[in-house]
Amino acid sequence: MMLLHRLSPDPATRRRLALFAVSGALAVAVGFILVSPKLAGYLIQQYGYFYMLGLFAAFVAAGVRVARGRREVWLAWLRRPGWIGAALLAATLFTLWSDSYQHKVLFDEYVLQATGFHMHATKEVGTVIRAYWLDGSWLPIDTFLDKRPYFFTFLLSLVHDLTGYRLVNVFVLNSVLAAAFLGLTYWFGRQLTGRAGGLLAVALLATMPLLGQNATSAGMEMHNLTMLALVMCLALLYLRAPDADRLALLCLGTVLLAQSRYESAIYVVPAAVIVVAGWWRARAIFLPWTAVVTPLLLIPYAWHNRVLSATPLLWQLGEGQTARFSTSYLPINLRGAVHFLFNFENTLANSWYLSVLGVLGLAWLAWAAVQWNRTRPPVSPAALVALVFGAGVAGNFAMVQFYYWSRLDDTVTSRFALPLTLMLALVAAVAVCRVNEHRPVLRPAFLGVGVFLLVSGLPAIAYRLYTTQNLVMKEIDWERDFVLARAPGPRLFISNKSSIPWVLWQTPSLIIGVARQRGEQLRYHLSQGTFSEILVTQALRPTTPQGNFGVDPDDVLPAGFHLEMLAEKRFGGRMERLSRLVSVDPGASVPAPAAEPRPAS
Amino acid sequence: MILATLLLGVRFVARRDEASLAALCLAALLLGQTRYESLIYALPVAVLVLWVWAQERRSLLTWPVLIAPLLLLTYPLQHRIFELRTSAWQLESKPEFSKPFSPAYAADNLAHAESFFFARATDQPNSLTLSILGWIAVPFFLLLAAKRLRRLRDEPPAVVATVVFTLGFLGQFVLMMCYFWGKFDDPVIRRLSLPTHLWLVVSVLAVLPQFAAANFQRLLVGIAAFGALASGIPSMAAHTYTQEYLPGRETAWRRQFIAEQPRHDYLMIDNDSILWVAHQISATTIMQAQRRRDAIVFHMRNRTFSAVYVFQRYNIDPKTGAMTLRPGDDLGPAFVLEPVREERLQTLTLTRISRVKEVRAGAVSLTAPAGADPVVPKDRAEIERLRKAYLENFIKQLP
Repeated sequence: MMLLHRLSPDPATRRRLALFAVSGALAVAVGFILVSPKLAGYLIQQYGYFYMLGLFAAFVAAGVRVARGRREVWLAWLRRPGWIGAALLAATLFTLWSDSYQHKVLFDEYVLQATGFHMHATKEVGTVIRAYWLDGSWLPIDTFLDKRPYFFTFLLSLVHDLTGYRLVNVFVLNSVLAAAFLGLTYWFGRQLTGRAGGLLAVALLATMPLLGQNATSAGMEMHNLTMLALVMCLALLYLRAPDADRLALLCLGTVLLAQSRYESAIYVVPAAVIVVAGWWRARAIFLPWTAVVTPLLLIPYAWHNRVLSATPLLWQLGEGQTARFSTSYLPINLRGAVHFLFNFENTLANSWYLSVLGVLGLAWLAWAAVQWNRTRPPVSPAALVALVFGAGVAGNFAMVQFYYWSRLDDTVTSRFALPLTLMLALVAAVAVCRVNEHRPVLRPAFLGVGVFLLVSGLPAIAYRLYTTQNLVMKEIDWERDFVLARAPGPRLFISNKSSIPWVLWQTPSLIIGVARQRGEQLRYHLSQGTFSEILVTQALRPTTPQGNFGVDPDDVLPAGFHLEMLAEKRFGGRMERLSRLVSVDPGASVPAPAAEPRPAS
Repeated sequence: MILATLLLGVRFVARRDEASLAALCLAALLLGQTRYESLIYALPVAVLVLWVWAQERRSLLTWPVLIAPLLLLTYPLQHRIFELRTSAWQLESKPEFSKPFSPAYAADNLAHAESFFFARATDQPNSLTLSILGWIAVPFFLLLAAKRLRRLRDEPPAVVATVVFTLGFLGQFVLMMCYFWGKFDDPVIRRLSLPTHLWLVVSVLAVLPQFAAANFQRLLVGIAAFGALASGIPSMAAHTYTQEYLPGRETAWRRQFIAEQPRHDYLMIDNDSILWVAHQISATTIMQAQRRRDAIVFHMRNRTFSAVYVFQRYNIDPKTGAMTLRPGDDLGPAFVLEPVREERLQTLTLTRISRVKEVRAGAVSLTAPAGADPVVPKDRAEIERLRKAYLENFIKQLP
């Protein structure tokens, strides 16, 4: 009680602070102790959608309340965006032009789309892995709770709700997010350095192929990055003029950011620091009800994390790996990070120019920090937000370095570098603008963007090796093209990869491991004519340097499954075979193993 | 680029400042890198610069001007390709010629030029109106230039630059007339007449102000409009002149084939492999396919490509109707072909794309599928080792 008295003389505020402490303790108890992972999973599946709907609605309402107070500012800009608007539009178009709209990370992006579809259709959080046409209805009959936070899939389901279900909706959503991200980056950069600095940050990011790759993907990286930029802007709005409304908006934005990627919960800490800094600035503590309940709003995140921790099948560990996080992964991940950031070839989606300018910016920052320490002048709100969130991004980057699959020079995991590149772009912009006050470096810095684009960016974009080397995607494309060229009709597709893409195309599908155990059911439906054909994909492996391909042991079907080969095609060091299941002998199935197979995700 | 350089020349004569000079010099350098013979226009640019300096009695030696000769260095270096590879002159396509340039070719080339400029618009992509007006204007313009050369300083900048650039236009035309393949009525060479057409237009425009009568100028505009309507547009609508160029039509035919294929994962054997490669389709030449028959077999057996096609042209004997493969198009008896598309793009040629069904060594098919699938080892490390060994061999086998 003494502490509360010291914090605030106002009894109402003291009461809120006490409630906040209770809320925090309750959140820890419910999130981590009182609810079992099994129950947590069930609760998320059943009620997660409505939790997200409420959270998002509250965020929008809080946003409207704050925006209403600054109506003249944003309305004037919207009416006359001027050449800045044109520059941001050009940057967005370039970003979207720089890669093709397609799935980039398999099968994560299909899982997200399947979750989005299920949230749209049933308002439950789940990923469909098995579905059939029954009496004209497309009926999902088997789902699982995916490990990924579901704010992005909620937004996707919202787009489906508003415009109708289409697979391409995810690309529309990511395109809009890309525009929003560049706009937010400009705004924050401008507050930090001025107009030129904001534009430099945008130019550095838009010319980095990694941004285009993710802006045109079906993944959630663009969304996470946009949410990070948005929360930084909200933190700045709050810190410039701390009040209850802005604090509520920041709190809700932070909770939504935590639901955007697994590790984005880390940004709760910088947001909390900014909240306290705002109180310090205002010389008063104000705690709206939204802030009081914020710890409770994070409970579903904790539950989801515990479900993931309790389900090793979802970890996707490689052979010989036993832990997701380990210090043993650090050296190889750090080497990968350096290779990615300073790669001068066109094999990766990096921008060495951004990295070099960013690292020079960090060196300038260190020097500026030493200078600042001599007199300690007040730090501007924008600089404080950038520093605190920069520390958050550094923490995020450090954590990822201990993760088993986060080499940035792996084309699948390069996307983890996005928050870091945002910070590097901002620090580069700050350094260039500050140095420009003494020496003219701004024009050369912009010129450097053009030179980078010509000598590295555009050649990399022309080849897009970081996207086109995805052979599994090519296999799925080939399978899809093959099926589309065949006569229409009800078809069952037995996949050696994942059933999810086929479910999204509303084609009944099984993975081969399940089909192996369901010989009787397949035989029955063959006799009933349920499907016009049952297609099977198998991977073939070379047995000699000359080829002589044989079926991968994982894809061998029991001898009683009789196949007719339809087509084969080589992808890299393996071949893909498409066959038609002609018949299944009685008793041909193999018994199910102890654990039910899950789709690759 | 010629016109842009000419306009920058006009600007330099008018302003006589460093920026205009730099722009003119850099434009001339770029023009020199636009076509082989366009370096000729460096001469009028140099004359123009010297003339302005002489008029001003001072030289504007800016950095772009000083380094301009150095920036020209790549031109002679690249030109030495013709020394390294005499085949680059493409003299083999005209066996009757032994030298790429000679004044002896001028008479014949001039006859062809006349045949081109004054041909019926249905036969050549010319403009009869422009040819008549232009070739009347050129001698008048040359006379005018000679007459005003002494008091050029009193002329407007546009006239000064045009007079000096006549050196370039004339030089380019003379060079073309001395070129072994400088026949303007040849379907491949017509395009080389474009700078001369520009010269004709410039000459007409230069001479026209001498006829102050507005009615005369209106009459000329009327004639030009009538010429475009009565001759140019019908000619363009029929574009018969492009139909006679078989390689062009075969290129369009192949592009149509590319557009109709759902996937671009096939291999095309075609001596014009560059066309396919430019469309991001794997391609190799017929000679290379013959040389590396085993590699083709390897890739057919390993399903690298969804199909292997070959593009060939047959020439048809007008008397017997017998079809014979164009020299260099024969893959040989080892390749068993199945026609998938063919068309007589010209009366006496048949253009065909065939699928390579199999490759044989005598009676034995080298590409027939093997019997039962070999058994793949269960050990993942062994699978990975075999995958790497296979990929290494795969790269070596690319045809």
